[in-house]
Amino acid sequence: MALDHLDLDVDHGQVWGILGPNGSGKTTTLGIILGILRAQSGNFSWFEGRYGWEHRKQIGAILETPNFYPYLNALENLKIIQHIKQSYDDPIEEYLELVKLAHRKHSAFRTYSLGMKQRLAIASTLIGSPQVLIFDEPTNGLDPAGIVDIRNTLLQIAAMGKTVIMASHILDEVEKICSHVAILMQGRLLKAGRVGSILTENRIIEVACKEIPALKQALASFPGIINLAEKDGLLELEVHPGTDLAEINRLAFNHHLVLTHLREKANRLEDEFLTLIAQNG
Amino acid sequence: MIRYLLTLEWLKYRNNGLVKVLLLFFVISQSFLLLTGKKFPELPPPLPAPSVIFEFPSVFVYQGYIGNWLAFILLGFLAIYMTSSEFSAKTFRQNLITGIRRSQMFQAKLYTILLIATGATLLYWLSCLIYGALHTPDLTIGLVMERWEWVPRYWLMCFGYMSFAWMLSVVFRRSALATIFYLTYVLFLEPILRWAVHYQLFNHRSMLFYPMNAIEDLVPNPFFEYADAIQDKDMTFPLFLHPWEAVLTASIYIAIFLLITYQVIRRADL
Repeated sequence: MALDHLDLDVDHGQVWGILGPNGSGKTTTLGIILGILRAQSGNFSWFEGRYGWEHRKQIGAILETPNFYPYLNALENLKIIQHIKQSYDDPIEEYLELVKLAHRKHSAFRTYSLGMKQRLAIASTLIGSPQVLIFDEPTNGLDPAGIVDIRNTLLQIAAMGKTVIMASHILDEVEKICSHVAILMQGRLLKAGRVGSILTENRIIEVACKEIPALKQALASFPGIINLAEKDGLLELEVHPGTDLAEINRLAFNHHLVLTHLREKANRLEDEFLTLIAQNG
Repeated sequence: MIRYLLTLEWLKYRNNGLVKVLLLFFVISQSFLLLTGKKFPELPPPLPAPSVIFEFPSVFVYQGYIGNWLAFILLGFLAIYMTSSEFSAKTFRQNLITGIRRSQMFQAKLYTILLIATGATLLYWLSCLIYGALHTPDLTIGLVMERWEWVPRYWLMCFGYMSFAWMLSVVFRRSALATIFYLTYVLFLEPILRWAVHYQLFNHRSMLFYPMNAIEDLVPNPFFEYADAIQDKDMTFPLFLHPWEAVLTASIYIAIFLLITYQVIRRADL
């Protein structure tokens, strides 16, 4: 069984990230709500049933890979999407500008790089001004520059006020783009809610000096500190997001301690995500 | 709805090289292949003089026989390609995500197949009229109309081959597999079943009621008129189905093919 008791409500205007390792059921979930996979039991509804069978025309979605007619060019492929959605007045050229494909709009889809295919897929989701956009692993397999491009485009789209559901196994991506997050693990929903409430935004700072115990004592009085732990000859401080690192340095110096190490630990959220996954695995 | 779905298919295939080549090849072959009959030598009786190839009413038979092969190969492959390519490019899945319903997907392909069968039939009918008018010595309306029922039967034959090929394409999903099975079944599997199994076990005319044989007998090969003279002496029944038996049998099989196709499209995980 791929999915087990997954229960989730998405409200208008929210940008949801569905987060989970490969094989956790993200694509299966999206496939079921898009009607291309059949669930053995359970149900879902779109727009409280207002559009009946036509609901999919209110949704722009890409699932896993971008799927287009390989022998047709970008414009011809988008025309098919327009025809299906019966929406013939879309500013297609603008959409192609947005995803930086205008210069290749007359090339056959099969000649596109993976990044271009992904970008065309994103442009295609905008056709018919759907209320909801669904992106499944939009940056999968792209090079770093391609990833940045796609993220910027997604941020622009999120800023248009659309409801967005995005599946990803890259936490950083979800953190940067989404307002809400649902964490899936082996088909079960581990947690769901606002990004800040699920994944703490607190920062972890590593500090060290020659006299660790004295430093530990000094930092105990530091405002904004949440947790303090000694680890591998370093002190790990969990602090509020707004903390200024210079204040830590100044405090130590005022106590006549000279820091030999002061560094913010990157991927704080990644760690927490992995811990969460490990606890539930 | 019909127009909406046919426009969708048109947008998909108007710039498709393979579809164009297949259709062009069909049009050229169905129009001009008969001209090779000009080179045929005189054959011994009971076979007719080559000139009847171009004359009313037998021009319908010879053009039909050419069309039988062309529809089997070219239109059959076209039907396979138009669906299996949607599976392999995952555009079937994307069409659904974009907003087409499964039943509409079925209808879109069905209407396309019906349209192609109708176009092919018009070409068959027109080319027969032109060849016949140019070559028949004593032209009368009666002669022109004598084999009128070959025209709708030709249509049913095209539809039959394509609906069988279409069913195979949704069952196998890959065009190579579907094509190999299609050719193997029509050319070898069914003839072996009929002749080596059915006929040996029961020397009975039920061996004629296999699906592809029925579709083939809608527009039988020109020797059907001389079947009595050439067929196996042990055979206790005519070698060909009566036209109306062929129409009825083929129609039943086509309904079954379409039903299976519809069910597969309705239920498939994509």
